[in-house]
Amino acid sequence: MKLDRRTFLQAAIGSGCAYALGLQFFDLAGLSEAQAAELTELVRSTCSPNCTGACGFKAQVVNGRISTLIQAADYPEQSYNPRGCLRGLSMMDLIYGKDRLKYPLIRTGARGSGEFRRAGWDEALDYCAAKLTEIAEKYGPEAIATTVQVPGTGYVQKGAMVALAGLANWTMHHGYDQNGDLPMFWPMTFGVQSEELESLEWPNARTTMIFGSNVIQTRLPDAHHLIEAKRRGRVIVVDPDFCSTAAKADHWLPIKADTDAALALGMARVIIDNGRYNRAFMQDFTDFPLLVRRDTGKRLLAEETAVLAEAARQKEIPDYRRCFVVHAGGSLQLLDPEDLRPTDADLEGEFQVELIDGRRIVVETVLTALRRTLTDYDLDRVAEITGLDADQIEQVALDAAANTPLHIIYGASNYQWYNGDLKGRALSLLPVLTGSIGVSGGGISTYAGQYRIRFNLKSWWFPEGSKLNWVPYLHFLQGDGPGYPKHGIKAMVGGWGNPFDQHNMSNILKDRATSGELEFILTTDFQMSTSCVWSDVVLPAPSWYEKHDLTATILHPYLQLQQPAIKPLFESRSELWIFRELAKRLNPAFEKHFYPELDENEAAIKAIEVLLATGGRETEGITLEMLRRGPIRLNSPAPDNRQIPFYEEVQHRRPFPPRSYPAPLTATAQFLRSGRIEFYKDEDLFLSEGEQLPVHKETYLETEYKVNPDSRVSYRLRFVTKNSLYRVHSTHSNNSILLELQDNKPKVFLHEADAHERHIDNGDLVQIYNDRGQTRANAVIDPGCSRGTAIFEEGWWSRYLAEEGYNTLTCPWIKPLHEIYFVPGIWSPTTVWNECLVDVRRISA
Amino acid sequence: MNSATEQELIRRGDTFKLLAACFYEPDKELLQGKHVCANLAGLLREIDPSAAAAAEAMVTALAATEQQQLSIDHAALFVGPFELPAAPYGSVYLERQRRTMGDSTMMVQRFYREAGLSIDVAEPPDHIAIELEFLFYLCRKEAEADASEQTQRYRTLQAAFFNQALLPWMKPFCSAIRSATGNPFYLALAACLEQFIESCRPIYRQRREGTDRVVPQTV
Repeated sequence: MKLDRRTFLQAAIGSGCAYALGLQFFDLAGLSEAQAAELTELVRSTCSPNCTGACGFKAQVVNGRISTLIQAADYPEQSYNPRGCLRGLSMMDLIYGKDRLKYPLIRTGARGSGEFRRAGWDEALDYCAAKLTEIAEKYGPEAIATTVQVPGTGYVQKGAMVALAGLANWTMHHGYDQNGDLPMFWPMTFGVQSEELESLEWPNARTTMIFGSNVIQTRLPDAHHLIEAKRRGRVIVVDPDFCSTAAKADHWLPIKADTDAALALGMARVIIDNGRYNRAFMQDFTDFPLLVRRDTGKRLLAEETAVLAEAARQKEIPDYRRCFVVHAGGSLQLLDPEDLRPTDADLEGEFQVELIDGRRIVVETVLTALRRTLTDYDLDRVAEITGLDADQIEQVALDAAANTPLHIIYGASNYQWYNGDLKGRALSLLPVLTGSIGVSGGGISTYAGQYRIRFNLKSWWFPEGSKLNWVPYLHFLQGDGPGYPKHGIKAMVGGWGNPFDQHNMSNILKDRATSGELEFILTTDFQMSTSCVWSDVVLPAPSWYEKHDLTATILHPYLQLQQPAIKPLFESRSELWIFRELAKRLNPAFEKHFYPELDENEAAIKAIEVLLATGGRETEGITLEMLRRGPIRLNSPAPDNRQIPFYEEVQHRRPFPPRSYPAPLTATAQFLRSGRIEFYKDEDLFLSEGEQLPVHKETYLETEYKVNPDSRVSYRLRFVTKNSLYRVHSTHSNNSILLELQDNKPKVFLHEADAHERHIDNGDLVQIYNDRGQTRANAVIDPGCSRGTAIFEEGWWSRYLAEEGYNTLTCPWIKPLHEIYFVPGIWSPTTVWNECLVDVRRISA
Repeated sequence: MNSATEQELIRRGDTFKLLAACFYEPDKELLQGKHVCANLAGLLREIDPSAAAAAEAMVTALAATEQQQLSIDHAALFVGPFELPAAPYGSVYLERQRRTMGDSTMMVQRFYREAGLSIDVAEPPDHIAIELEFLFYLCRKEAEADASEQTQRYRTLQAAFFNQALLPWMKPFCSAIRSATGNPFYLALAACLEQFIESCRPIYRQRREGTDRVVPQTV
């Protein structure tokens, strides 16, 4: 709203009359017929916060304003209708709320002071381009880092940022490991990034076991499918705390925190000892019959043996495979890693093998090795480690084996620990032993974050000549690592996230911003988040009711559109436009990838069409026109296009793993060189760590206790976070309706004894602290909270915590095993939020 | 229309317009070059002496304030980022949750449509400057009208808009400016606006009967 010189052309001083002043805002040409009518329309879009629920919503728009949001309820399967929670309905509070970003902003005060001036788009973009060019010239383009967050909720707009980063050769952090949502057991055991059943498949499980996931609260639109699963079968919740999902379970096992691997190994032993496993499944689809050398601990290769060396030489296999050996029909047999036809191999046994140099060694099958490991996990010891009842453990294990398919929901609060990978590997034994993989209602699923990209998006994300320098976020924080740029990270370009609050050790970012080590920070968002406050330039983007995009996430495998119900508010512009404008300024040759001949809406639509056309078999036959009529299921090999992990591998006997987009198969298949589900890992570090097979390891030994032995006494509470019922995930914690429902108070949940010991009463303001940082919250004495735990409801921005961000408490641990390969967001060091000790003290009554 | 009434109408309308201009992004050179505040004072002398005095104070304050300071204080009050201490949008004062684009915003938009005007700006239509400009337009149309039914139509619209859309948030808005800034220009502007609106109340109150339902209040 600028003063227009023309407005005043005829205003004369002293005339006492400004009669000839022009109109600045109104169009005198009058109204068209359409404008004169009261316009009401319904526009279908997709609710797309980082919760990844991707619920279809209709926006009722009256005269250009969204007046109501309504669940679209247009999924072909009635049991998905209606889909969308009350939190999504409250989005209008953010769209039209007080933190809505209106104009491009350029910082005028100190970093973090919140002092900005309004800038025009050209000025802001020119300024960004100049800074980014200067930094790239001085330190190399890899000194500019960006993050891709939750691709599934916006393949087009987020893809524009990735494409620019690739063209400009910037560094990229993968959000999945940055968020700690990457469950490392997946690549280790199944060779994939992650997999999951759609929630419509939940009721097809006869046994559902839930570890560290509170789906009743965090997956509201899908929760009824869990209730149906309980009606048809049995639901067992294993959780230290009496969470809302535990309250719905047939059985709640109040396990000691972080001892799930011991429980899983104990149950695996029960299943094996009682002969309740699926022998054929284990022979054909797993590494259980593979032979392992006793002398080296390595899996026996066919090429090493006197009898199979020649056959191994003749065998043509891809580089990422190896020919291992099984014992079948009384002799050694080469195991074809590309062929999963039945082998009838011996699952157990110890054998003598002659090597090509004539030496004789002893080998045993993986299952034999596992059974030896399991001798440490008799029920009495497992009961002692886990704090559970031995009989109950045995009964649950036998029931699960008798009532398949078994489905395990494996939640982030369980795996976001230093040894979370071991827990996932141990828990995977249960569905594998019972043959519950690749079948309707069976398997193991992770839903937190969930980065699995659902189709091939290379054409839009990775243009010709694109090259990204992937650096895990933990390496960025520690300022070191294989891909870490020589001169460090000097600029951050961000969007769809809030790392200055919501990521671990957010204080490191603030320190680097304050010291000037970070020379430039650019953020796009539609809310004034903490990360915007700390930025040098803030660019206003539209919400998902103001632009075009394509979504496909977890829980319901639908391709859906985001469609603009209203024009972008104030001066916001779509990210595609923003990154196209930046691209043009950085290098005119970059611009052509972003359809410069089209306006931003047309360009986004074009990108959707290209993605659908080049997405591979998953999007084959699906067109924009179909999506405009409603959500369309992605193609899958399972009947009715159901989302059933490993269906093709098991039912059609295809070698593991399936591809994890966007990585090429060659990158991930190396994790499963046998072409089968692998529990035995023989890379040197697995052997030296004693983790060639899943085992239980005690919490904090390699982390907190190692760094500070005193923490055993000075910090006696486990700091874990949970999602509030009244928050749409974590990114935007400023929704005033949801804040009101939370009484506007951050909360920490404590066991009664822990609270009383510290003279803390319900409602007291307490400080949560450790050597790394501190935050504050109101105490809630919760009978459902286990002893020794401080549960903080995550997501609160610093502004609600007296500027003491809760992620100052979190930790830098990197498990070395997570660095032996590097495939971005798939095998990568991942944040282990829960491996964090604190204590709590009262600030005031 | 006799010329005295017409003069009064034009003065009032132009006052609305010049006040609107004072809420734009400030351009000191232009404000001074075009004597916006001096003109405002000149107009107000005939309308309300204390509003005129506030406009005189604006002239002085403008001269004494650097462009940069004006821009910073204007942004802090009306532009953001963050929650605006004196949001320039009617709905923020008239509705729960301090939201923009509320039902009252829709009502304002219906007034514009009723007057045959379309609007295309990147701001909610209940921005103070837009509402003030709308009243300027209605005053001018009333003054220009030949037929008495036209005169009556613009008069009625003016009164309804003034009473339903603008007046209800003027006091909280001006008081928000006063508590959020020390900038003498904007303090004087708040005083001037509040006083001028006060002086308009009797004029529009007389016309109130029968005008309330020009535009329905709710969606």
